[in-house]
Amino acid sequence: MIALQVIGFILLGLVPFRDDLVNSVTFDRRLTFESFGVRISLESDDIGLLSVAHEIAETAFLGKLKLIENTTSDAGYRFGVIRKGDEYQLFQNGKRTNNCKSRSILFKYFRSMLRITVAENAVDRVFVHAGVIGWKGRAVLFPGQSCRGKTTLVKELIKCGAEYFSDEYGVIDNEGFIHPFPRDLSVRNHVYQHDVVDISALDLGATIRRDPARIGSVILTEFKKDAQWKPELLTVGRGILETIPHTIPIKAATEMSLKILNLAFADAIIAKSTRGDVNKDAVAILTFLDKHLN
Amino acid sequence: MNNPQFPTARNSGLVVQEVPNEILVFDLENNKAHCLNDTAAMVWKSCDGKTSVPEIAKYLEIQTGKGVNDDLVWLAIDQLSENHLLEKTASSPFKGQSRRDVIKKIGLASVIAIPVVASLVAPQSVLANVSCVCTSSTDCGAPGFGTCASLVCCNAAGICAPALPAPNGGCI
Repeated sequence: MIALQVIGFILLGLVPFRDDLVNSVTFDRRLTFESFGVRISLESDDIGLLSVAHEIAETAFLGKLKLIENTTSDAGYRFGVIRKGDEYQLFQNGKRTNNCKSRSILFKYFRSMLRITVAENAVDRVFVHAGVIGWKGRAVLFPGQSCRGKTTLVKELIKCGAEYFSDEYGVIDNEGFIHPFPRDLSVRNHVYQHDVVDISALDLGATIRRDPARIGSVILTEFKKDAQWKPELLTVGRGILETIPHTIPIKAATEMSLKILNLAFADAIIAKSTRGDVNKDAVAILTFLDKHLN
Repeated sequence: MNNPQFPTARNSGLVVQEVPNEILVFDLENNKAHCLNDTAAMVWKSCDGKTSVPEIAKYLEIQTGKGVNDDLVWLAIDQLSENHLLEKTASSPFKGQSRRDVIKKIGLASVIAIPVVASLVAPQSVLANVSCVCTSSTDCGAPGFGTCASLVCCNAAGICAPALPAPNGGCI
């Protein structure tokens, strides 16, 4: 039913277009949406692929996108997907950037690119690559790189009763409030850690946070074998400094990013430590939060 | 210890954010971020090209109400210069001494916080820090993907990581 609605919309919403940009490939069909203030066009010459791309965009932004009726209006960013022979090709702003024989891998990459494009260019929002939980009515931010144990920690914390905000993004508004981005958790495969499966936070028994919250604490931590949680408190400035590598628009919107991080971190307890065993250290982190969050 | 130099703070290509008792500086040209503690921040703000090091030391004394010697100011200038936060590189009077030794010497005599400029390099690529998702092994070798588990293999799950175990296979 949903698929039919989507295709129905596309049939109604699409208009053929041609682009006169030199060296830029053009496509017959286009669908434009806006998410977090960023306008993106999806393009293809294949209505089936466009339909899949649209569904992926819907899930990538948890439904927080608005379709633009007038599809001839300019979008800042364009993604095209086509099939050529036995491979699928991805285009960004009219130029081919990736090709792959596996459709699912190409779309997985596409979803990642879509999210990063919005995260980097969002209006009045700063996306921090971070796990986020709620504890005692405040948000707790765990900025960190991929594959450093963020999701594992968030998963354990929500098992201990923390609210779920996100395992990927802390979305901070221009008043310093952090908004939930409760996508499914990307949990690493037990057998092979470089593969992931998506698990719903609800299936893990989590309470999903729906409203924005002030940041009560920022925890800078990553997994190290045999390490223990021994937090060192940081100043606001040092906390922001260490969060900069995980702040997605830091280069595209430096001034806004620093201003918003400053607002958001102003009252936060900021701590840094490596951590080891997740079962033990999740409890230790919650004990730390209990002590510091009033 | 008198030195005729009049340091000048760099102001182009920088984004500055004041936070309580610290200053954050993002250097757009060198792609580096710096956090200046209170003492380093006061020195940096005083580097107007007209004020000498002894005068900056005096200004700090007035601001903090505590004794400040020129060496403390030089320690800040040394770090500011090293991090390209001054217009011209200042010649340090501490040549031949390690910073640790200088800090030790000043630390014993100082009653205000030792100036500290903490720095880090911002990532070149947003994607690399956020995701190791790939469509081919070429993606994994792109600049900035150094944090991924593999720089040469896009595995069958579409992640820059060592090959998936059999029977699913290796790199595409």
